[in-house]
Amino acid sequence: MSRSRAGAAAGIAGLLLWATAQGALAAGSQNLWPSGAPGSRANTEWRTSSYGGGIVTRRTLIKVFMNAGEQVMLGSSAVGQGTSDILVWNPGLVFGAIGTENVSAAPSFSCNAQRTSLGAPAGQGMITSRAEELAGPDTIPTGGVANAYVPCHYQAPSAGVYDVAFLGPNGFSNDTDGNVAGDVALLNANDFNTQQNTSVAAWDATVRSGLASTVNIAGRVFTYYLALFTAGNGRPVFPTVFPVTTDGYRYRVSLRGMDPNGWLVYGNQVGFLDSDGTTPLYHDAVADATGSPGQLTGIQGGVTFAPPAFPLFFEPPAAASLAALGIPAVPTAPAMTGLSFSGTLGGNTSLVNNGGTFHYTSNVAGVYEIVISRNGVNFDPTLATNRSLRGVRTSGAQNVAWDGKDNSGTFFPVGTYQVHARFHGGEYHFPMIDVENDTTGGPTITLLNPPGGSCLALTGGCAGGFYDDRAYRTLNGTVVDSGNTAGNVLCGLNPPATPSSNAITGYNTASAQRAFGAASGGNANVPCTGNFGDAKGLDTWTFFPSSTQLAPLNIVGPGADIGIAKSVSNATPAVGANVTFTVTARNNGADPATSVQVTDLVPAGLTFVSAAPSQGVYTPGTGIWNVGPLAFGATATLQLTVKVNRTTPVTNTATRTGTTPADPNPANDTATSTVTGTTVPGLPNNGVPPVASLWPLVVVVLIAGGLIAGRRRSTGRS
Amino acid sequence: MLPRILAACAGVAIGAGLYASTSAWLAPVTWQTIHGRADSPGLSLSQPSTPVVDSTPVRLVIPAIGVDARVEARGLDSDRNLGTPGDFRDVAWYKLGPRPGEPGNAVLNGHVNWWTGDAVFTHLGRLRPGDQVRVVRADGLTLAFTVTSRRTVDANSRIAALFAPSTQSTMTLITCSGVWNPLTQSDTQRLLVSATLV
Repeated sequence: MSRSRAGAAAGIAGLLLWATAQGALAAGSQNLWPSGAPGSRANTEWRTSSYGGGIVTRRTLIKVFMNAGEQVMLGSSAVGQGTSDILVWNPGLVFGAIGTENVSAAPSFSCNAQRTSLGAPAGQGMITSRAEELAGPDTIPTGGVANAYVPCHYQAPSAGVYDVAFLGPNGFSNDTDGNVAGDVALLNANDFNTQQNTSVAAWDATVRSGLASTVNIAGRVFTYYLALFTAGNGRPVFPTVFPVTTDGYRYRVSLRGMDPNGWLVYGNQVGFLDSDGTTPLYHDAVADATGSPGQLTGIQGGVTFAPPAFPLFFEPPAAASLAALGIPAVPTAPAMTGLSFSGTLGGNTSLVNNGGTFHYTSNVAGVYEIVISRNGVNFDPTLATNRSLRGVRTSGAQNVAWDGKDNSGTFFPVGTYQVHARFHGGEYHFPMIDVENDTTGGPTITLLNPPGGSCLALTGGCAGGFYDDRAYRTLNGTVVDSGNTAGNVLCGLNPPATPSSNAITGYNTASAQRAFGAASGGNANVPCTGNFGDAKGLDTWTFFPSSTQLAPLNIVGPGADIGIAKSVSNATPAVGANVTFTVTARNNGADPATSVQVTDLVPAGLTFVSAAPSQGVYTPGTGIWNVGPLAFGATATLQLTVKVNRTTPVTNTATRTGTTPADPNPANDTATSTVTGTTVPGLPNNGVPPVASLWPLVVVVLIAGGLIAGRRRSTGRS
Repeated sequence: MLPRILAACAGVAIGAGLYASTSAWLAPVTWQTIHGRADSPGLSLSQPSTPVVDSTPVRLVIPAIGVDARVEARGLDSDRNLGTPGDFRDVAWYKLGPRPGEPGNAVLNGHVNWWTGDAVFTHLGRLRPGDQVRVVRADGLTLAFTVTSRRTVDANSRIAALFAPSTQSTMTLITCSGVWNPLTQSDTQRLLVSATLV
């Protein structure tokens, strides 16, 4: 405590000295609650329970990238209290899926062991005041940094990512809530005593080149998720973190006053997963009544957590840290090309109730988004009568299967539909787990390094994002939340006034559009009875989109879809000249036609000359062409030659007038061609066939000539 | 070709003022210089005793591509297309339109090839703006035109502008181009070279 008083006495002068000497902040809770931070503090947890029914353990595992020989300086507000400690594992000792890492290996370093060893400086590893938190670690020997805490320290034996655990006074394996004071200023005794239980109020992990150095190496400390606890509502928090996607998109996320109690801060590429366990949900997770709804032990509709996936830095990341994680320094703009649809009947045509397959190529890995519009105008991927297909894919040529249904589970009817598709780079989801209140509108997510330097595609520009707080139907047919109607806002008190963002262009995450809950309270931990964010995972996401690609598709019904096409040999012939119309009837399927009839009656202004059907019979008086049977995929043609009698336009129409079985698609039953006679002389024909095309004739003549000559010679000899 | 051209030039030199220009082509003709084969239509082998004005074109001379051809007068064929010359070495003048040098556009066409090989307009595509085209009339007068442009059009085109009235004296030379279409027994395009009376 004497160190605390000394720090306070140093005051502003000491802070100025620190700022001048350090250049960069120390890394830890002071990044989350920097000098002047408003609102409340949340303690960082290390405990045994989990969110999502075991998907994400409730503990904050800090990661530190160090080169060989560098030192990590360590301290916390719990060191010296109970069985608290700060543990470090060398690279590779902690392994397994993010959220459920295996931390059973013996630590490579223990702060407690160091601080209790012979000759250790007094108070080593202990952060005992707000001033010490802000000043960061002292040098070893001490005295190099004013107001600083005396750090534990560990030298990296090799380059790599080290794992660090800050244990509360209850130690490694306990699950008791901390009696958290929640004050940014660290003025409450509970910020430093055993009441922290499974949490720490302040912590620090600063990388320096050596023990005597006063220079903090920035951008080396990160985590994949923060398990945080304020111990009550009405305690809004305002930290800022710096996540980076694995494809190199760097974001700044400002929590901006969200008011949780206990919750997770993390990010990944998909948010939550639909009932199939793989498809991104693009909706919120709603707890069911099992287990601890506040930790979303069970989730309605078969939805599951997707674990944290992206590193979350406490300051802008260092290039060395990104390189160590295999993350590109500069993101590549996504591009989607070659969008097409393969139907079950060939080309882009499918039999109704059968779906088909989309094809595209992307230059990078990311998320595809394909939207089939019911009306060709509205491409909202969330519209019940549209269908959206979204998923994570690698780069290159890809296929995406479609079952033929819309978002409500109903098959698309017979018709022609337009498709829009785009590819998402840098897709980042920031689910708010059990955040009861956020009266300022949720986190502000800002893209810091957009490819090309601008973010024009989304509302809010680089701060653009998406949310959808409406009830929905999962892939297994369940409506979430239970008893609601898909499309209405989800259950819970004080929902957002606007239940979803624009599904194509998003919303400005810096706005108050998504404000929900109240200024305090609402933590029922029972589904649908607390404030809106209670017992839910509220997803917010953003991405950097490619340009939009377009492709049409056709859905035809059972029966035989006969498509009629028509052309004319010369659309502007001389009056008195003959032209030939070519009428084509094709069976697009799916069944063979036993009988097809097409009618093409020569109109006034034209005079019938002759007809030449490839099959069937044409009757000039009625214009009826009885085509006869036409197999699936087969084509029949009618060459209709007429004389042109006038100079005004004359339109000739061919119409399918009968098919057995019935034709399910009337859209392609009629085709027209127009001719306009003219008295203007036509151009002369001044050519003859090229010589090469005459060689067969020459050969015939030569052979014939040879035979004749031979016969004459033979005759002569005889 | 060279002797014929020299003969034409000599004729112009002897008959001062007979070489046509935009201002002189209607000047009184006092003597004629006759070119071409003796069987050229509209030609007379005897010198008239009185001046004769006959603006019917009888020869077409294009030095740049070595053309010195007889001109046949033709109308329309049964499909109302411009009639073509009966001899692949000749050009056909559309006799229902203006004569070369008269106000309006005179239209002449010739074959681009023949069963035996090259024809009169095989090299028409080589003409460039500024090249000279000469028309010799039945009365011996020679008119000079200058190529102004060329273009290709679809073989089925019907171009009203070719036959539209005008105060200017222009001429269009036409032949086939593109590729041979065995179904229509015709090349797919037509080459049109425009020239203006000097």
